[in-house]
Amino acid sequence: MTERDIDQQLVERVQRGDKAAFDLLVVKYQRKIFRLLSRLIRDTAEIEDVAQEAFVKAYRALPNFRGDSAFYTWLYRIAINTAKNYLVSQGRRAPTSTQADIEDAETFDDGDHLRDLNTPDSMLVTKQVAEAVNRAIDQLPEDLRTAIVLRELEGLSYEEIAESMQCPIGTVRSRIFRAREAIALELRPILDIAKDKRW
Amino acid sequence: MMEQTAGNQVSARLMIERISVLLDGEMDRTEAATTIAALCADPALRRHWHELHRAGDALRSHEVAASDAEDFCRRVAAAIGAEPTVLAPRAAKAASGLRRYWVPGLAVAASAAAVAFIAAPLMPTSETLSTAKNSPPGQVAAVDVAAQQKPLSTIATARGLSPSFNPYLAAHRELTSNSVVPRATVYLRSSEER
Repeated sequence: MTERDIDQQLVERVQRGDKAAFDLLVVKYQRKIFRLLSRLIRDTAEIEDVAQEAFVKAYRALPNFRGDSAFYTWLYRIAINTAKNYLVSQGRRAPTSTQADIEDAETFDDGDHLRDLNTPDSMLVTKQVAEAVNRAIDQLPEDLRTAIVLRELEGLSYEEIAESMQCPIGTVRSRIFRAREAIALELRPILDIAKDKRW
Repeated sequence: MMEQTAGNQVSARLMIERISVLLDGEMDRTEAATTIAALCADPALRRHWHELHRAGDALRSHEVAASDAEDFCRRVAAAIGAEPTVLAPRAAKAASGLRRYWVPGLAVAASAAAVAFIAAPLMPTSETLSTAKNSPPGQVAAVDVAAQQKPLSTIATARGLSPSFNPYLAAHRELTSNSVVPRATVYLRSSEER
């Protein structure tokens, strides 16, 4: 199964009336949706409102989602349209296609070019996250570090990582999990405290 | 008691490891379905789903991870909770593997039964067929015409009815025909009638 298949399974659960499955999709994509919307809207509170509206719209439209495109592509389109409608309703100019467009949903890279939109508070949290991640990575045993880097940064499959590290797939599963757990533990105090100081 | 607690901890950790594998999409469909079902049923597991995703995002982009908002997720969950539950009939049908097989079978059987019910009365009886077989071509139609032209009083008498039914039989005579589409003829209109 691919990540897209997992999303499709979650979508099908929502379509059968399971709202908790939609919560899983919200948790998975909220950060990326925030970053996407921050290209169109500057105010943090407004971004949250628009993101919430986008998720609710997506939930309402989910019975019609057939899985022709990936769920996240479909969700990004809804988020961009919601943001554009919001800006129009506020009497503000909707961004031109060069700034952000629906097509971006396919290739949206939530990385470096967003830095100019950051506030001092958000830059501080970003810096703390970077330090926490680096600290966690430094403290990881070599085999865990290699496994997580190959997975998250190089995008290798478990099978490829197993071949590369000459170990069973079960060991790869365990190493990636333990590495993620260590990073999550390091992030917890920063992100759980910094809720009101995002971006 | 302590062994049981230790066992629970091990199984809990195994479940969290499975969540980690799930978010990489490195599971077969059945195992994924089981893990997703467990996640949907247990808010504590959903917390791990959140943290493991956040850790992955943090490795790829510190900025994306920094925009994490757990409060936001709670707010959206509350908003979704207030929404009417969405249902897609397509997904509901797909849910039952058994139904997937017996519903089409039942539909086919029902169609066949319906066709048999409608067509059976229209089929020529064995008596008609034997008449047709023993008669030269063109004779059957002639027999039908002869039946149509039979005096009404004869029909009423033959069926044990009072002669007072004759006007009724005259009015509905076309419905008692033995032609190929007897009951449909009253509904047929020629193009000239339009």
